[in-house]
Amino acid sequence: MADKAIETHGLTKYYGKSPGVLNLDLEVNTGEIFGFLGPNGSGKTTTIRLLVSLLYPTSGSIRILGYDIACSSLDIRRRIGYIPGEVRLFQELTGTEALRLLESFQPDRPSIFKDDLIQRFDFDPSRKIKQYSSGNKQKLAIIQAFMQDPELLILDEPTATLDPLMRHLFYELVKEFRDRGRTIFISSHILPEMEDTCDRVGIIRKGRLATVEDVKSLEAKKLRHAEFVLTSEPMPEELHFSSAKISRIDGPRFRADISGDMDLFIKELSRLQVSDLQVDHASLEEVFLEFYREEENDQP
Amino acid sequence: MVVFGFLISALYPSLSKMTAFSQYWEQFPKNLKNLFGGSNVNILTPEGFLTLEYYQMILIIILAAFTLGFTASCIVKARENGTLELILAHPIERWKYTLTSSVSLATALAGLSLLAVATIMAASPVFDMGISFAGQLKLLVILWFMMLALGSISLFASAAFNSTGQVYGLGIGILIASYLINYLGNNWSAFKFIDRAFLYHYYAPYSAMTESGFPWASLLYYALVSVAFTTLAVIVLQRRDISV
Repeated sequence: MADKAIETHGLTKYYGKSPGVLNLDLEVNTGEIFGFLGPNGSGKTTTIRLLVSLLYPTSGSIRILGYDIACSSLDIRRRIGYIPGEVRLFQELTGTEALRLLESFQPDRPSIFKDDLIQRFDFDPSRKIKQYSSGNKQKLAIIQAFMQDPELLILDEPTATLDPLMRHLFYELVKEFRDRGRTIFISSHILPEMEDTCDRVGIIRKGRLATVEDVKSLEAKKLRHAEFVLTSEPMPEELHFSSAKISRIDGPRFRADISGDMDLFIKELSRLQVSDLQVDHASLEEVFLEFYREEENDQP
Repeated sequence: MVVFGFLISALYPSLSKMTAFSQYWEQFPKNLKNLFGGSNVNILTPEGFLTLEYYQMILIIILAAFTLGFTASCIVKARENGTLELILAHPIERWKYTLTSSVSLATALAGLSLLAVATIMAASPVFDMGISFAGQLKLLVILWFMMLALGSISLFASAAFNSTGQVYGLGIGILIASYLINYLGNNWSAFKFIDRAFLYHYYAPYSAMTESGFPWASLLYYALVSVAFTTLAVIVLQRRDISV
């Protein structure tokens, strides 16, 4: 088995004159969950379509599970499970018929997990696909991708239309597959979900790979916002936090931009009389800005 | 199609006895006769009647509508509705997908052409038309091959274009242009040369039903067009990006 499940070198894709992906060098280790993060239009779906041979690269190379995609695309597709970004299935078929059809494309790989997945996701395969809600269509897409136990799963925003419970079940499934030695490449624009699931994440912006990080190091850099309300007016020096940048919103309501250690912020905040506190994760854009700020600071 | 074929056949006994109907047709200028199926057509014979009322235009429209719809749904519509993306992410060779579509089309068209001709054969004894089996068989083969040729052009368009509307537009445009150029070629010698390049020039239902020889030239032309455009469809789908 190859050490690297996915390797791209100088991968570039242009749509006419506009770039989709630029000079992407990416390595995904076998047996890891790799999160591929980026805002809408950043090049995530283009990259994924290149990986499943739906798009041809303008330049650069792709190796998947040790096979060169230029000459062994079919061998690769025999070993992968794929969920497209926008799940659109055969409207006139029932769930059972659609699964049977997709199974038939790989008759040598039995669908060993189909029944278990149908049960686990509480999915009714007897109805026509056009009658399914978007959440149920997403469940069907998940089942078809996982049912034949592929070596590599390439998943384009697979939780977009799932409710929180199903989302939790899905990530449990992903972790189970990782524990069985499978590799999962999963794109998203929701950072907290990725942090809880992935071993490493790559961040793509404007078609370029901004960074690849261990989730632990991402955690250390994690940005959060807090809003808190004080019961009394603080002294100016009390608002000097080493863990956060504090600014007043209005009256007794303050905002803290916390970078890194949350524990330290809580300890510093405990010096004040707080009547309300709300903490949110920073948006992906803000995380990018943080990365770019660091990149700029690193430059001589 | 079956109902229409049967109803048209049912009209023949009464219309064939109406001399006024025949005289009315004979009074048509030659150019106008060519627009509806040819000046050499004898409308009092069942073959002539069926050519004008069924085989020359109505049946072609029915079969062309099916052909364009089928070929569009195989590729361009599947791409528009996202199912092609899911299929081709599985271990399916694109050339196999295109050829499978082509074979499915050929099978479906064989069935429909057979149904159309069989309807007339079944109606023939009922309405005392005395249609010859050999003539209908020849017509069946030519009809099938003509639709295959149109289907191959449409399959190529389906692989190359980005919307169902473009595929329908090209298919309908080719069919209408072919019919009109055939009409012009039959009336004015200046158009004869260009007429030879188009589908309708090789489709002569009245001749197929009434003349003794087999229209090999038509068969060869349609076969060549089918092979050429199916090959182009394979090449184009093989090389293009699949995105919704």
